[in-house]
Amino acid sequence: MTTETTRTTKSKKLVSEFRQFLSEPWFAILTTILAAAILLFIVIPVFAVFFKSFGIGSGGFTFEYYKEFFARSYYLNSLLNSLGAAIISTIVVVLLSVSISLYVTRSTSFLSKFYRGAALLPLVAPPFIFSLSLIILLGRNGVVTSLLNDAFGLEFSIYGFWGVVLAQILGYFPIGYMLVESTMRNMSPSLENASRDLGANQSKTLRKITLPLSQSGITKAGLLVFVMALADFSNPLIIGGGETFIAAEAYLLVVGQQNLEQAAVLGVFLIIPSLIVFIFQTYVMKDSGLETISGESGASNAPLTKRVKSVVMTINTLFVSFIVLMFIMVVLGAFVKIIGIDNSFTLEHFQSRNGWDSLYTSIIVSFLAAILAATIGMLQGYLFARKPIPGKKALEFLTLFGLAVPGTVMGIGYVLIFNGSPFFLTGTVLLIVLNMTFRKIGVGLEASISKMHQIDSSMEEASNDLGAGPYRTFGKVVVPLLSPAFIAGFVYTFMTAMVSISSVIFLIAPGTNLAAVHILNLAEQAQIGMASAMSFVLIVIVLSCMGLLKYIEKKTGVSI
Amino acid sequence: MSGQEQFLQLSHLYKFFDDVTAVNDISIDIEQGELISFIGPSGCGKTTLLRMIGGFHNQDKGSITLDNQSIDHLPPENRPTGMVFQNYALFPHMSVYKNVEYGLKIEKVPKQERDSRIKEALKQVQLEGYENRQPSELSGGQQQRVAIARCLVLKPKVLLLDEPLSNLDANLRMIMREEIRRLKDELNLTIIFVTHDQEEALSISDRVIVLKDGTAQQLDRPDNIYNEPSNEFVANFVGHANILEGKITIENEQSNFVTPSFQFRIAHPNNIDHDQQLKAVIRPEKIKIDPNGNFEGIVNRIIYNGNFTRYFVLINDTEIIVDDFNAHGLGEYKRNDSITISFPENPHFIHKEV
Repeated sequence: MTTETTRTTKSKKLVSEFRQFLSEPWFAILTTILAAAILLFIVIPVFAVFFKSFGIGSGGFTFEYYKEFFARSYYLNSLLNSLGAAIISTIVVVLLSVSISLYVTRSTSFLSKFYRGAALLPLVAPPFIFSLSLIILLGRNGVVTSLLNDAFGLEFSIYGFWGVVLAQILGYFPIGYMLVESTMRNMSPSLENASRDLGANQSKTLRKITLPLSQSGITKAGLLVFVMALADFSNPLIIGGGETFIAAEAYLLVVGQQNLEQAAVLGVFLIIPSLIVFIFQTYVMKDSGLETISGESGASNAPLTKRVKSVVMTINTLFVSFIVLMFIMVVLGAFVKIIGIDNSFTLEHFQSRNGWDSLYTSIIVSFLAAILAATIGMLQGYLFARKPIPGKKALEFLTLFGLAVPGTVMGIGYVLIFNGSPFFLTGTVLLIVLNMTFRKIGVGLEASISKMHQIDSSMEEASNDLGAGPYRTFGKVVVPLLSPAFIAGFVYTFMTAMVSISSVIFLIAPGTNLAAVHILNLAEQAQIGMASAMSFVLIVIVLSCMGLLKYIEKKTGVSI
Repeated sequence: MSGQEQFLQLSHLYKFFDDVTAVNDISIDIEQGELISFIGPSGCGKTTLLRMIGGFHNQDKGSITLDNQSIDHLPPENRPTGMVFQNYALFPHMSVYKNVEYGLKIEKVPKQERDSRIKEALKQVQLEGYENRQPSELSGGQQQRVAIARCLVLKPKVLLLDEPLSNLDANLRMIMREEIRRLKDELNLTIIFVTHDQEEALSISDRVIVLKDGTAQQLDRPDNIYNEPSNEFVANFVGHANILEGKITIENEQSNFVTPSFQFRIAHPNNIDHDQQLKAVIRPEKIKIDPNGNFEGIVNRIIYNGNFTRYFVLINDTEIIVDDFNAHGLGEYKRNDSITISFPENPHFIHKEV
């Protein structure tokens, strides 16, 4: 009886929701197009990889490729290597993030700003930049390696498992750090003060209060770093030496052997952990953030006491200096003939026609992707936050899922779907743009949904009340209010698109080469000088974009 | 003061933030079992001063002694003070019981004693039976009680309360005020109470210190603060006041207070020189609406306040505030009515500030 009534009210609600949805036809049409695009550019490619791994579409259903995977220690090793490296780098990144966050959240000194700046620096560089500088420093003919060899006859090089781990720690550190720092920053300082007041000294307070309360942020950081490191593709290619890693292996299977089925199997192993983590984050972790009660006047965290400070500062300084050193190596590598061997100044590494062409393509493609991703994100955010859309939860889930899918899997999926009929898009700039866009629209969507939740809906009601229809209200009221979210989506997509590699590397063709891919090729061919020079230019471009953004932020007073 | 050591002594405390003097030469002697309020507008240094006692700021000059011992160099965890934070700062990952237990565990108090002390503390704040609740499941008033219990259980020598009632609604504020007073009397607690609400301070305190820009304006009993403010700032910050500039003249053995627009009779004041520029502080309720009064004015504005009505009366272009209790219902005057009033014979005088 009761279930029946709830069912009828539910279906009634659905009908009225649907009617409302259709009452603004343009929004309805837009939503439908959006949904179709999300399916085509995010969901279907992933399913395509899944089906392909069972041979569907190329000879009928079979477990043969999975058998092959488990039969050859070669493949299994690549999975174990990837898992091992990801676990180690995750643990180290989390520890370092906590250490730096502890200092940065309770000091406004110059050192604190320096830590923060240097810690975030890797964001502006291609994900494999540290492989490059590690090779310059510790490769077979690296600066330090040669010195050691000359002095002690030590034969040593960074290539291999540990090189990958080190490069991953450096490269994925900012992601982990940002999450941990923001949790610690959002914690009410009086909690720590209360603990001190009740007799706990600082290290005890950190253990009993600060760390337990930062747990959700730390877990999130760890999961994210783990998934990214697991799917790491470029570092193993450059610095992996003889060791195989799963994402790189999948790429080599596609490019080298055209063995898409086997690559799809590796892709499935790549996507399962990402999917688990994504679902865990969306459904399990969602409400786990402990709320702290706000409403206090200008209290701040107590500065670290000597004992804690000395430990934290030693770790921070060592690590941050290492990051800076890595960047210096790239700059040096770009401006000297052959670093470590012929250290005379030169600009010849910058005189590469192919390099500049690829850079030009990268800028155009990233710009287009950024505009598209930010626009879609903004529209979608508005529609999802305000309009009754049937199946909106599922659509939102799928959009955000685009962020979680490893690039390699997406790349293989795009090859499977768009290579042949009816699309024939492989090798076109359009497909690269679409790939970059749909992998990143989740960021713009989240930014604008959270912005929409801050904007009271009475703002739009006021506009309606004053005589504007829904479309004019959207254009005149919502769009200006959402502009910070638009800019955030734009900048994020542009920056990540400029340095992205793991997915688009499957989609380029002669003439549409991208800067990051070009640098990767150079690094693989040990063209360290040219790779460094290109990386340098790429970093400068991304940094200037951020500078421009800060400038706009200051000028317009809009915080982004 | 007189040679005898006080329980809590703040002497000549200073605190500088960049170029702002947040606390400027504050000295207070506080007796055991006393409840003293720090009041003042925001930014007056009251919270900074409290945090200095708790050990969260170190003073730049001066010293703090508690129970004959200097606590200047002790970090917060080693000071025998207990602080209740404005947002209560309950640990959200711990139950009520665990919150109260926290400090005892750190003191390594044995389990059984811990348990009985926690029970006792929760009883004192009337929260028996709430041991297993999470802070998020408590109302604002209950959270407040847990925060107090968490301090009380450690038997602090001084309880520091930082605007403890500001997040509660009006009725609850009244109840908690009573509660704090009750705890103080029952346990002979020494309490420092920071608030920006002057009414709260007057009603709860044994003594009140009024602060402005880090400087002490007046330290006194609540009734003295109200009736004999030391300067115009205190007069205006605590309650409302008519402040009339003028001087005292004596004619035929009769003293008068002469303002530019009118003059009225006063009883001859002690220790005040005549012919000196002064300010008379007259509380609005001290002026009587009196048919036989000697001043006739025009009612300029009226604010009805329920239990009393506030009239703004113009006498020769000077606006005088008069509060009249509504013992018999509505106030009987309307705008532009003429009204006769009489001034009290012994207003409080303050010297004109230089």
